[in-house]
Amino acid sequence: MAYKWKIYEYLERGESTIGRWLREEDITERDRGQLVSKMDMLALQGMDLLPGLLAGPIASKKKRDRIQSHIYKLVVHGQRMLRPMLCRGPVDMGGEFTMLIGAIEVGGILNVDVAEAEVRRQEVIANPEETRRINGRYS
Amino acid sequence: MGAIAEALKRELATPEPDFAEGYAESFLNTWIAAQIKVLRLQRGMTQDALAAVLQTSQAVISRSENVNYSAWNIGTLKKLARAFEVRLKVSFEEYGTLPDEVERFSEAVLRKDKRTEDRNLLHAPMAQVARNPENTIHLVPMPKSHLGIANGNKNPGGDIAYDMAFPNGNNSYPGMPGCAYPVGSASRQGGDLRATG
Repeated sequence: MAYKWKIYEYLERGESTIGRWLREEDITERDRGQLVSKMDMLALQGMDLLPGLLAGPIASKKKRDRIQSHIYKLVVHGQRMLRPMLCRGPVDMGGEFTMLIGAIEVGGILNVDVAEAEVRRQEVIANPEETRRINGRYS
Repeated sequence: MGAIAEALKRELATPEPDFAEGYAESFLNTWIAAQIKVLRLQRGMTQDALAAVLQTSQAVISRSENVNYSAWNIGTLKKLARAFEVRLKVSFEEYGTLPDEVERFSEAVLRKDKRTEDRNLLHAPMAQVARNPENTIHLVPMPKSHLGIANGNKNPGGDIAYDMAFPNGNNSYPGMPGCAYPVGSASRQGGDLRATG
């Protein structure tokens, strides 16, 4: 079965950045269940049918005058406020999303700056074959 | 079965319940929020219009349509069901049914007809008649000049005939190829209304 949207993952030293983040942040299985559910919905329906699934574009904390207009966060209201950042495309804007970096919101503030996600997005644009892989769940 | 359902079947089978519970609860919230939005749009309602029906604010409707909202109560859902003219079904399900439900999740699945337009509620014989294209009634606008008038009269003995307008048989109408309109009249005879002429 082909899904409407393919979900790619940025590769951090050859490993899925989201998988690495889940492990390093010691995200609970309950929160991981919520995150995976949201990613499945994104693959099945994209953004249109599901208000609140994605938030953004996100403004950079470091460069407050500049909105990173391509970066969104996937909103998960779990035991912790998971907000992994992603972008539409960036190769096929009408058929894929790429998970770029894990993030957690505490007191309304993200623990990762969106500028880091934008750097990764640029890397993917320059070399999509080497910097990301499709999640097998959404192939 | 798709890759999501295959993977989910394995993940839901793990001994610890946490992943399964987190996934299922998130999917439930997503389902309810998305269906409220889909049903509202299916009925051509704005958030303001739905809020007016429920005597609440647009912000409450907007919040209800957010996939991250989780503080549902049955009373509110019942009110929404009444506003949409559908029934509310709350059911406990086995985890094994979840993967297929997830795979089928789509706007088409979420759309539900209101009770007054639910074709499944027609009586069976009427439903068959309605599904036969030959029994379809077409309402076609036509100019007065295309109409003939059958004169009415009152017959001795109690029969009453009525003045009625019929399409002139010499005219044809767009979308109705091969459809002939007889010019005639109708009269009430012994309680029955009969077409004549």
